[in-house]
Amino acid sequence: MALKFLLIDDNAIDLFINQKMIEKEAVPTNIITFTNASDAIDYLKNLEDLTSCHMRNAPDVIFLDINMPLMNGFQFIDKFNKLNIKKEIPIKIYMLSSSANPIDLQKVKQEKSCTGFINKPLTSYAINNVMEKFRTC
Amino acid sequence: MEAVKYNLLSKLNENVLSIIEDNSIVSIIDVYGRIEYVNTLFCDTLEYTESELLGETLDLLKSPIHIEALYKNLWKTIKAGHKWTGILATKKSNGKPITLDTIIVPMKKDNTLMYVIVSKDVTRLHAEKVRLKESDYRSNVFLENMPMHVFSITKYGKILNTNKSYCNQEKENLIDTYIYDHIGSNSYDIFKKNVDEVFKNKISKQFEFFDFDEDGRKLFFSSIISPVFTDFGGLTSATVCIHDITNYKGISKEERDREAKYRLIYKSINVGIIVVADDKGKIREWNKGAKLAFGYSESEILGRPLTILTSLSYRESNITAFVKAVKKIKNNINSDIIELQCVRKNGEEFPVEFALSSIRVNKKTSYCAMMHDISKRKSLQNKLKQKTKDLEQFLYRSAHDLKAPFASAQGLLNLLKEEKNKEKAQVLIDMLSETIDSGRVLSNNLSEASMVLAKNYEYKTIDFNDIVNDVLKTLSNATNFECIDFKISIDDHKVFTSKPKLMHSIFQNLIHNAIKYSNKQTDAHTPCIDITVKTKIDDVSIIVRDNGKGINLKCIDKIFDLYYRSNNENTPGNGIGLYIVKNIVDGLDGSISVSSELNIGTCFEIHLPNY
Repeated sequence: MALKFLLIDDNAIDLFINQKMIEKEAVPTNIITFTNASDAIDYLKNLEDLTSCHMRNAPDVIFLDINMPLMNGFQFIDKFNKLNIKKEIPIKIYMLSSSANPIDLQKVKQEKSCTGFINKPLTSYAINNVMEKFRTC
Repeated sequence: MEAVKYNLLSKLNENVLSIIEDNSIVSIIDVYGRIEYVNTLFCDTLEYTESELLGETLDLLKSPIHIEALYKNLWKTIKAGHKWTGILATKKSNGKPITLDTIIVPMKKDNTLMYVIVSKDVTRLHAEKVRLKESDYRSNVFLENMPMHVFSITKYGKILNTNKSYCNQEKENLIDTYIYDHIGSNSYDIFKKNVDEVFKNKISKQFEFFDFDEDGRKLFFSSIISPVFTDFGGLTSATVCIHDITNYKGISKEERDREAKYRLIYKSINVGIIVVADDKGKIREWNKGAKLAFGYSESEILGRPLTILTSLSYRESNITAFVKAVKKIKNNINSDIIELQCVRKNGEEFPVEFALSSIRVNKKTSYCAMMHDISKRKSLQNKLKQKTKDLEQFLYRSAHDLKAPFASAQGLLNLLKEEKNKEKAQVLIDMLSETIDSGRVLSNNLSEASMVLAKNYEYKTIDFNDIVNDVLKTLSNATNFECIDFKISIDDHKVFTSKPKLMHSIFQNLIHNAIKYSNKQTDAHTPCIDITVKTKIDDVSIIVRDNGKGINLKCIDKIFDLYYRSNNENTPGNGIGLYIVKNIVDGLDGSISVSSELNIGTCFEIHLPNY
């Protein structure tokens, strides 16, 4: 089964790096990318409205950048928590940031719908850790 | 007919003359004051014979009883040909004094000037008048020396008469004023009550009250108010008698001096605001500091509720805090210092630090509120808070944003290491270069931001053309630059002085932004940027207007915040530029405003004072 990834980062280069790293580690895979968190929300909302077969397109994992203009990672999670899709499909969200700011880490921990925190750059080790969780369950 | 009339008149003249002759004391003197004529009555009154007087100088006009000035005036008047009237005194032949009401009329006869003197004996009347004056003076002295003040007042307290000056007011100035004007506000109530009772019940009242003299010493008074009835039993006035009994009040001089001292200290303190309220929350004491801070004078505020001083919008929370403090005091716990929002007479609000203590005098509880205006401290505190917030944000975002390019570079390098395909490797290298570039821009901007904070730049005359051209040159590599139609209008005839580096930074950031957010050139659209500068004597206005992407209205308040980015279309930006501009403008005491509409454009307008 191909794991479906949804990547959100305002920096196109980081998005590219993350995509490449995932493609390298997880085959086969399905990756959708957004440079704008609100577009990603729209995408997920759109999935809800479609039939259940489309629901299969729902991502298994979201890699979410914290610092983004207009809608940052935490604002995305607030919006995401209000979506119905969350109830139907277990989506694991990982927050990505280049700085392990203690306040951000604390916030990530408190956020129930957030599975973990990954330091940038995304490494093979981190990706394998994420996929490990899917293999066990 | 004429002859008859003539005769009649001269006959009448003679008659009149003889009447005057018989009934008045008449004398005529020549220019030198020698007697030429005296009538019988003159001789009889002064007890001289005619022969004794004729040719002699008239004593009447040089009597030693009067002062010289009177005679000088008299002679001056008559020599000038004018009539003189007045009271003169002289002596009879037997030495007895006599007072004459005298008229002296100059007359010309055969070209020689002489004076007719007609007098009337007023010795008795004059003596009576002198006696009256003396007794009047005596009674006045008696009244003034009375150890008490006596007033005659109407039921409204209007002073009809008084025996002497009171409270540094002359007697004349007291009449027709109101007695309450001269009594301290502390005793107004008791005084008014007693006056009202006297007029209502038609009985005498006796009571005591106190006041303060100009040195702040407390004085005690005993007062009796008695009704004064008219002959018909009506009551139109009352007599008020006020007696200073301070010395009998059993308070020693030292004690009074001490009280005066404390009172003066309290009254004159103008740094702290001290307000004393009674147990009903009514203001009873008011010091200079309170007057300065709140703008109410003592007479305006005494008796009004304490809550009038607190801000309307905060009144409820203020009262809660106040009640809490009172409760604490009642339980003998020292009340904490609380912060309140107060309001001045003119409606201005200001924060105070407020400490409450209670005083118990004569079984009555008063509350003493000591306040301290903390507006300055508050505003500094707020500024400091904002700065700290800025700094925290700066550190937090710097830590992140500075790391971001490194993390990206590291990621790219990781990919590059395993990339065998040369072409694909080249793409990664390009990305790497782009990443490093943006990192460099960021660190440049950060150093620019810190440069803005350093304030030791010299003031110089600004050449705006120079600056704008220089900025355009440095930005000429920017994407879309060559498509943009720059319209530059600079009017700097009036010399403008400021800090050139900071001016440069303003233009650099604003123009760079305008370029970054310009739209691509199409057939229907030409991106354009207007740069307008106009200097005046006191200030300069700088306007940078573009027809680019515009800013979302939701974000427009935040665009000057550090690290804030409102765009999301992969436009390179690090959220520092406008923060720098805003900081420069604030630092130069200028103002900046922005207006924008999505896909129509953005306009920044800056006003800076001429240094």
